[in-house]
Amino acid sequence: MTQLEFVNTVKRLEDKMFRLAKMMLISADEAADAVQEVFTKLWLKRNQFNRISNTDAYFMRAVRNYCLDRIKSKQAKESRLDTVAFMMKAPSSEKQYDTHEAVSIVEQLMMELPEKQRLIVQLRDVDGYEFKEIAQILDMNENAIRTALSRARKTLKNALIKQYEYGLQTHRQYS
Amino acid sequence: MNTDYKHIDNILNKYFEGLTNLQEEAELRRYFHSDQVSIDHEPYKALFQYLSQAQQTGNPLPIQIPQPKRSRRFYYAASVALLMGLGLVWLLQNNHKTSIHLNDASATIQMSNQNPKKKKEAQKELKKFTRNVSEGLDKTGALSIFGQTTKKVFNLKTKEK
Repeated sequence: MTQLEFVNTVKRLEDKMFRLAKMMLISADEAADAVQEVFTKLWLKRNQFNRISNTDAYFMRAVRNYCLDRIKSKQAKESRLDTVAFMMKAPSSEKQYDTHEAVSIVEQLMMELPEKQRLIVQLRDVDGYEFKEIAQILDMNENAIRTALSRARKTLKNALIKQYEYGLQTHRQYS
Repeated sequence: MNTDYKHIDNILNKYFEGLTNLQEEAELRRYFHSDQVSIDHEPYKALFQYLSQAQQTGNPLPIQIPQPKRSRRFYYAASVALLMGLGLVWLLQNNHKTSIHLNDASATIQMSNQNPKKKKEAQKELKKFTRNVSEGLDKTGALSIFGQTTKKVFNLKTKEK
C-alpha cells in the first residue's frame, strides 16, 4: 500500500473507526487516541496489505481488537464505568415526551445493550456494513450476527414503546 | 397512502427481525425523516433519528500519519549539500569584501542595489570617480610633452658625442 493509498484509507475510515472505538470505550478522548494508535500501528504494517482481501474490514477489526485490549486493562475499565454512570441520567418525568429527549433515551438504551449487540447495531445501522463485513470485523458468523441484531433491535423497540406510552400518560396527567 | 403504510409497516417488521437489506433500511430512514410518519410508527422515530445523528459523529482529532524513515544515504547527501552551500556563501561574502577594498565607487554601486536611497550617492561617487580619471588622463598629456622634450635633449647629447 502506497502512502497515498494509506492516506485515502485514513480519510475513508477514520470516522467509522472513531465511532466504533467510542461505542466500545465510551470516552471520546480515549476513542480518538485509540484511532490514532491503530493507524500508527497499521502504517508500519502497510507493506503487508496487498495480501488482504478487504482492507476496510481489516482496519475496523484492528480498532476493535485494540479497544478490547484497552477494556481489559484495569485503568480503561474504571474510566469506562465512570463515564457510563455519568451518562445514565434519569429522564425527566415532568416533561412532555419530545423527540430530543427520546433521542437521548435511545442513546441510553444503546448503552444498556450487551456489548456485541451494541457493536452490531453500530456497524449495521450507523456505518451501513454488509453482514459479511460485520462477520469479518467481529470474527463471528453471519447467522449469529443476524440473530444478535434482531435481539438488539427488538429490545430497543420494546423499550421505546414503553417509553412512548409512559410519555403519553404523563402528558395526559399534566394537561 | 394506505399501501405506503402497509409497505413501510412490512419493512419495519422485517427490520426488527434482522431480515432487511441496506436499501430497505435506507428507505426506512427516509420515511422516519419525512413528515409522513404514521402515529403507529411514532415510537420508533427517535431510534432512526438517533442513528442519523450517530452517523454524523466524526473523529475530533486529525490523524497524524508518521513520516517514512529516511535512509542514511539521504542524511549523507543532505549534509554534503549543506556544507557546499555554506562554502558557497563564504566564498561569495569574501568576494564581496575584496571588491569593496578594490574600488570605493564600485562598492557604493553594489550597496546601492540593496538600498535604493543610496542610489544617488552611488551616482555621485561614480561621477567623482570618472572626473578623477579624466583629469588624470589630461595630466598624462603634459607628461607626454615632458617625455618628448627629454628625448630631444638626450638625442642632442648623443649627437654631440
